[in-house]
Amino acid sequence: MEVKEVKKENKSNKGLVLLLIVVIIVLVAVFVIPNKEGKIKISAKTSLDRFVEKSDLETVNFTYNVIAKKCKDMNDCDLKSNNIDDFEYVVSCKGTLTAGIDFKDVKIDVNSKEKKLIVTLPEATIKEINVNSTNFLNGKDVPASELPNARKLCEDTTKEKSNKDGKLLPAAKEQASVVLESFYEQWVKAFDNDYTVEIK
Amino acid sequence: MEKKVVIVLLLICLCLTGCGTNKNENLEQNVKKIELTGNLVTHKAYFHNVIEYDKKKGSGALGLLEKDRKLFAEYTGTIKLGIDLTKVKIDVSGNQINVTVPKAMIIGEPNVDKDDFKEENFIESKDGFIKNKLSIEDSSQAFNEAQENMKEAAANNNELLSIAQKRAKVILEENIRQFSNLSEDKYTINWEYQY
Repeated sequence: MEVKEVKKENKSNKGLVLLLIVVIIVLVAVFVIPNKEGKIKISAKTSLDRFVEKSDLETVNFTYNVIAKKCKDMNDCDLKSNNIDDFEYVVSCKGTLTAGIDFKDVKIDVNSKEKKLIVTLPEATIKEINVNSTNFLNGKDVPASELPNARKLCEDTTKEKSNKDGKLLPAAKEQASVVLESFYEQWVKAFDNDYTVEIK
Repeated sequence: MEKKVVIVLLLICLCLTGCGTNKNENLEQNVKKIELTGNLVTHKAYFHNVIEYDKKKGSGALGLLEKDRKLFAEYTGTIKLGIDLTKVKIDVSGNQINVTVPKAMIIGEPNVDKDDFKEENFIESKDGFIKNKLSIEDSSQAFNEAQENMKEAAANNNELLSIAQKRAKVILEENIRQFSNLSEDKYTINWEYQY
């Protein structure tokens, strides 16, 4: 009778051991082995969302000052002329514009073989243009009543020049790239020091 | 024997689920792992500016017949801003983390596009009978002035400096979060900014 009870106890202990082994295997499978790649990817995206939310990344202003030229005769005017006297007046326009990327469209990938965190940025766009002040460069005699027209000329010229400016949008994208590179280079060290960051 | 095995297995279970550790004790050690070396670039500002260059008349006999002129040109450039990480101070006391973020600064030299200073890009005021033309030295001088102007403008632009410092703060905050291995409600960060 006693022998039977000891056997029963042994059996239940063996069952418990087996159960614990199964639990350990499951825990290892869920928490240890897996998917470092997936973990980094999710965590990198979550951190980015927090970063964007806290640092107003999307509202960066650029100083954008241009020279605008008012033609004497709209039908016979060479805007490319560099002679200030060919124009009714020439005005220096001080402005700012907002340009940047949409951080919702940032893609994050992980290449675990090459140990790389790859961040792909969307193209930048111009979001807002503002002209803050105007200064006549050759117009001491320009009447004050011309100021609103000069301002409008500045707005149109800033818009036109910024749209044609081949350096502006790449700079806006690079601006985002610089800060994200700094961010992730620091960030990735907490996960794995061997990882490198590539911003595209 | 089997009881020992059960105990060992239970301990392993506890380790895996993290129930047996007091992570708060490791906060200070973990935060110390954050590398605070070199400069942290947090903002690259783009400038599209106008330079006003004074072209003085020459000093020789012909110079008497020349005119002082003003020349204007648009130029573009970028400048990096950020913080010196070695000046960041992080002190941990219990679950309180005190962080001092240094003032943001210009990092490196501005990168102004030299092509913008070619003679053909200058808008010129009327010249005299004896021409007082823009020389290569003038272009070079205007370029240097533009670089200095940009540097000065960025150094005095509180909005830019504030953006750079704020971003540095968020990067440090995220670093602390990653290295501490704790959820945010387990510690408090007290920020101090240098201006």
